[in-house]
Amino acid sequence: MTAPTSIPSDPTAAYGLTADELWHSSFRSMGSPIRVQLGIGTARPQRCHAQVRALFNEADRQCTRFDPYSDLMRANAAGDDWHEVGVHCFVALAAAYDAHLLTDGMFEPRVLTTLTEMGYGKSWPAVGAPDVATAATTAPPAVPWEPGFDEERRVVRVGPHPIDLGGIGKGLTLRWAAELLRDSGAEVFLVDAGGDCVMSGGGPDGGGWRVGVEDPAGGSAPVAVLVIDSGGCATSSTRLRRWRAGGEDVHHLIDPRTGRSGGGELRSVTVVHPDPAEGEVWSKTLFLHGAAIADEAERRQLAALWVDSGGAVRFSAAMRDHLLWWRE
Amino acid sequence: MTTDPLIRKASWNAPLILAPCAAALFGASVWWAAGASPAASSAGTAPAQPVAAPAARHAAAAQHAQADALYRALRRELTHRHQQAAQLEHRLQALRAKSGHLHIAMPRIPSAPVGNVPAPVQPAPAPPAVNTVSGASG
Repeated sequence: MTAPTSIPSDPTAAYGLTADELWHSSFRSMGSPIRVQLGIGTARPQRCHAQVRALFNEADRQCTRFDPYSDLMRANAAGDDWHEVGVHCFVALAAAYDAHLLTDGMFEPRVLTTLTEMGYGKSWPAVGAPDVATAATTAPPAVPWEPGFDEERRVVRVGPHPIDLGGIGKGLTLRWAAELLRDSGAEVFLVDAGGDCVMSGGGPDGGGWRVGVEDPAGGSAPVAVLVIDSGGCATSSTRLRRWRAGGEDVHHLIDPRTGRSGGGELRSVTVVHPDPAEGEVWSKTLFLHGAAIADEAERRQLAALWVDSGGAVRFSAAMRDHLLWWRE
Repeated sequence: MTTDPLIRKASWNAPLILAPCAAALFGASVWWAAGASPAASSAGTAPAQPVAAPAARHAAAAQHAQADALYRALRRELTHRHQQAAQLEHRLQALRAKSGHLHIAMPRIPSAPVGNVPAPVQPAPAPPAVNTVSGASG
């Protein structure tokens, strides 16, 4: 068996784990580095890497809000008119609507105008978001979201308020990547999409995949280490996407109840969930609950871990099974 | 009605013969029954008590003795362990006093905190190596 071509530098080296037992590669998509790790016994690892890469690129092409010609932005421009979109965009919009209902509206995709007014209308480098002088004036609409979906013709009607799929597009792509890899015969794998990840097979040695939870205050040391055999892990954090607008600190996680950056004193929320897309939805939703996160996480029986502005690490009862280590 | 004088006389005499015979038979039955019944205890209404054989009494005594010995041994062991724990605690305090602000990293099992309960103050060991990191997109 030969090594995959164009292997980049070891993505795990920064955390001190040798990757001798894994095939690994990375590429950029969706504004993030995508890292793929496959068990050493995986057949045709190069083909698996190529398939995952093609999947991410296609999903990004359809679902990005930073390209005015993407399927999503064309559907946004159509507003109340029906518009044909690609299958990835169609499924992502339908999933976003399901999440909107499931979370009682706390997962709100109709925040694109608010984000644009706050200065987050264009993709920017991971560090160095430009400050803008104005604050958002358009809050997410209070009226119910009533999009239309025609599965046969694969056309959608998003409504008058533009949609930002946010992290659910990435979470869905991770779900599809896992399905694709399983269909290709891969059993042990991990795909990391810039902070959100999906994994399977119980890790390289059968003892579970070890996932470090990034410190939202910065630094290379994690605030916790989780052990996950299979499923998804998603984090909503203000570490990178925060800037100043209208004279105040803001970030990209908009509370639909106020139209402003939400979460109170929370700095990051990590959720372990069997499905990476649902994990992404819940990490964002729990973040917006702010000080009420503990009650909401217990009510939903979610495996959640959160870090507040003081650096304190807390977690729900369901997260206990995944905790290998946490910072005190 | 019978009119024969002989028969009428016999019917009147039959009870005179049968009654003594029945009484004699009853008495004999009572005598026999009294002889066949088990003897009543001298205590009257008190139930009979089982009486252990001498061998069983010895075994029970031996068991009691063993239990007593085991109990005493466990008490001694417990006292010894208490003394050891006190000595170790004393040595630990001495080591802490020597090490000043240094902490000893010890493995632990995650238990608390849950919800809003703050984490107990413990020395933080180095984080284990990881396969990937979950955090802000970028």
